[in-house]
Amino acid sequence: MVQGTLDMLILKTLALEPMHGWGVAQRIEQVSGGVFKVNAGSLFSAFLRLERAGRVKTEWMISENNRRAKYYSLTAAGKKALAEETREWERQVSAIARILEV
Amino acid sequence: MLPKKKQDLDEELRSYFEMSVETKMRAGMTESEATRATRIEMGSMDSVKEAVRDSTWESVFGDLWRDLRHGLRQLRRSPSFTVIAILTLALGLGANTAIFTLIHGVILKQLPVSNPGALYRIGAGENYCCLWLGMQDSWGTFSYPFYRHLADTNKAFSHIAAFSGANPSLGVRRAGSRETAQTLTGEWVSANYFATFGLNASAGRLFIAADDGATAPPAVVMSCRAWKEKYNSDPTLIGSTLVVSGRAMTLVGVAPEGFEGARLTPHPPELWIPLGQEPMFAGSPQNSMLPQRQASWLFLIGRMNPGYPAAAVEAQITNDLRQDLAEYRTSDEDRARLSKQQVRVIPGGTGVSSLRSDSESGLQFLAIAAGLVLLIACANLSNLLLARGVARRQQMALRLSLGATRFRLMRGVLAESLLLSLFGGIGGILVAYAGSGMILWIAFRGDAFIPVSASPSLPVFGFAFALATLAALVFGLFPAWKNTDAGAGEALRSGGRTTSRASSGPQRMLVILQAALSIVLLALTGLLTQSLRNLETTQFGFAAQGRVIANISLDSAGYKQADLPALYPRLEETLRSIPGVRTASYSLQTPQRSCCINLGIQIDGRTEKWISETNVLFNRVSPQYFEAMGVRVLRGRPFSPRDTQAAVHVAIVDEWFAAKFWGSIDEALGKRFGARLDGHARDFEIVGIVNAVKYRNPALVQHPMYFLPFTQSTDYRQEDYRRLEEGTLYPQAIQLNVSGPPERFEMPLRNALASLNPNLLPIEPRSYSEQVAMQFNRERLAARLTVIFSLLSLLLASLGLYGVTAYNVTRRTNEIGVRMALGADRTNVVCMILKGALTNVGIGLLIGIPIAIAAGRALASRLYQIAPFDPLSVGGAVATLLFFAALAGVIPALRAASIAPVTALRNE
Repeated sequence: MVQGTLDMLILKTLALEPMHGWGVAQRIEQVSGGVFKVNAGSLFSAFLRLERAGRVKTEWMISENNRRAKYYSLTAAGKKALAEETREWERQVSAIARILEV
Repeated sequence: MLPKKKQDLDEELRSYFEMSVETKMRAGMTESEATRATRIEMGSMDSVKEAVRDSTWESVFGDLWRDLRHGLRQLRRSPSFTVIAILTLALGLGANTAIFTLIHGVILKQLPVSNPGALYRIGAGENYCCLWLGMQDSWGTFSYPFYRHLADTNKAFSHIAAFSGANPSLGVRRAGSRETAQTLTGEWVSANYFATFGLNASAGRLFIAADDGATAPPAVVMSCRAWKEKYNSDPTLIGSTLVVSGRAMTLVGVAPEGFEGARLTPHPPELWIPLGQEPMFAGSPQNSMLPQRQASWLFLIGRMNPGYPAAAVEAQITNDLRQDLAEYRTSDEDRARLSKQQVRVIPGGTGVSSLRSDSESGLQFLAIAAGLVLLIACANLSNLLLARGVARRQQMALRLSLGATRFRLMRGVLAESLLLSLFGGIGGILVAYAGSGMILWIAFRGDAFIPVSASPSLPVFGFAFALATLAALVFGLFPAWKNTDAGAGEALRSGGRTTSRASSGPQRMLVILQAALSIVLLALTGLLTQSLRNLETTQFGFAAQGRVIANISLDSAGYKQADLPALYPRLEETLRSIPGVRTASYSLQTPQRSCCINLGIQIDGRTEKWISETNVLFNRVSPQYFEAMGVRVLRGRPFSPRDTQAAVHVAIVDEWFAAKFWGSIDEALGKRFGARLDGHARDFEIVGIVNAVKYRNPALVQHPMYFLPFTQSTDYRQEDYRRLEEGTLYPQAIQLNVSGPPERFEMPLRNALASLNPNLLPIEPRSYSEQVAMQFNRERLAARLTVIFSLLSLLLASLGLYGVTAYNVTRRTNEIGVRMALGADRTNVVCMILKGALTNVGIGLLIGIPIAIAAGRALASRLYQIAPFDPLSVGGAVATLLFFAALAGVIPALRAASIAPVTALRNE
């Protein structure tokens, strides 16, 4: 999966609620109908990248089944970035779609 | 990764793993199945961690490290490029580091003393010229009484040390031993000399205040180097009695290692003697300089107390000096100049060094030349990197389109440049070490001691790496910017076969720049080399072949003035009896060695101003001197033993002297002249005229010269003239005209002199050709270095041109293929490529030639018998550059012409 895209999908996923890594991986896989299988290495690399860019913040919490897990949530900057990337993505997608319709 | 973060990640991955297993079990797998499935999905834990770690933004440094690792991989992939780049850099950086080593050693290096920053020199300049001339305007040396006055009254300094400008050669033996004497260089110093510098003895003790009185037991201190080299660090020497030029003195101690006095010189002091002992060495009280107010012979360096502004101290000392001068300088001429007299107070931590002021401009020139070489090297690398970058543009474009920022990519490319530079810097230090060693060896040829060290020191390392980093930025930044251009889509589309000329503009600029720089260096090389050749082939007017010369110091062998008349014939006898010697003579001065005394004269009582203002040189010689030196007597006769004190006082002049004052050599014979003093107008009758000999470096103005015999002396009433006259009666040099190689005569000469007097030994015996060659050490060095530098720049420029042309050929492969498919033949193609290459060089020449001519003009004063615009050297440089440019262009052009059109088109 393309790097820029994974970042965007993670942000989109976290926009709903704070989640731990496994949750994010699961959600992307489910929502995409199994199209995107997320590799753990890429996922955590993406998390670190986003954290360093100040788009997500982390804190350790107890999960739904009583396990200590690191939860990721969007920051204000993350929300803004998501909005922008989504717009950009839609522009590209519609452009491609128009080309394909021709 | 920080340990905290590591743990964090470990725990997070573990919980991720467990969650994954749980989810799978809930979906119906057994635990072992679920574990295995998760493992397969996740890959090994380690590889996940690796992936995460690789993308970790630990810190800028960690990031840089990753960039460097990546850069290293890139460099390993193209070894030939890497080797060429590193070599190029090593040469460029090495040249600069070598020059910096010298600049550091000669100009910047502090004396090896404690807290050199607090030392200030009173006075400026290195000459100690003015024993009897008087006003120096800006004073550099002072009299002992004035020094005492400063040391006693000036509050700004905690200590002021005085040391003599002149360094006598001393004959040193252990008391009571039969050994032959060693020659040591002496220096008179105040007793607080070592205390001022804050030094401790490496053995025994250094001077204390009690050593300074005239009645104090005579004590001396030896330098550590002399103690090691001449006495094998013999501990029994400390505290023993030495016979120093015939006077018994106690060696109280040895100075610390590495301390060679406060003057950077190839003849550093080896034996320090307290000032109070100077009268004992002077022979007679009226010869002693110590009490004389007008004998300015001492350098002063003091340790300044904190809180005194140098300007105020300067004003105070200047004022003191003017008062002092006003007391005993009473002539109107001196009075009028009184207000111009001044004393500067300058940082003294680097000591007093004539080497520094002599070589400053030369070192500047070399630094500029080395800088040019480095610039060319950088231009080259820029070009190579640009060419390399084009090949990687597709990859860059891809990464850009995948969301990498341009800055990020540039960082990667720059890291590569930095790596190259670091390796180049390491290579450069090796080059510099060898190079500066060689430079020093040439510069101090024939000297026993080299006062500058070639071994790289911490400041030199610092300089090399700072320069390497700077160079990396200079040559790396532009290609990095250019090659991460966002015109990425284009690169992707055209698959690297772009026909755009985007990068050819800057590349052409670089080639033009290199050609211009090379031509400047090449032209200068021509000028300097020719100047050196002119110097070396100068007609000096004497025969340098088959001659041995040596200095002697009769004074330090213990001879008094009264002993001299008896010594003269015996000295000549002894020298002539050495087997293989044809003629032997002795004199006060020899040509091409720090020469000579300048005096004002009067001609037969004529009083024209130009006569009294003409500088003439003066020498005393033995009767055999002209024969031994191969100087022709044109008219009249040489001196003879019949020229005694009672006979008519005679002189011999050279043809310049005769021509200057009488217009012809025939006119001059039999005429009279004398010193510029009342009552001395007709002292000497001219009995001979000899051909003119260049006594000084031929690049300097040559003055007319007259010769007097040792056997006649003039009785002057003036104190200073009498002292000078007495001094000149001591021969300081001997000359032997020998059959066979001059080098063989050192030992026989040594033995012959020792048979005359065990304290008499030849100082620095060498062949005359060697002495003449030593005169041009500096010129030879400059010429050889510019040859090296310009060859380097030529090599680099050719490499660069080759690189660019080859790259262009590659880029235009399709175009060439098309042209050939459409009927162009090989000749057309070769011409097309060559034209492109040589056009750039041509433009570079047009820019470079005027600069080369201007630089030649700037150097004109340093060149010997060369017009500042020398068509030969400029023309030669142009031809050389064009030849190499053509060579560098032809190879890729031929390759272009051998491209089969089909291949070229298939590339599409």
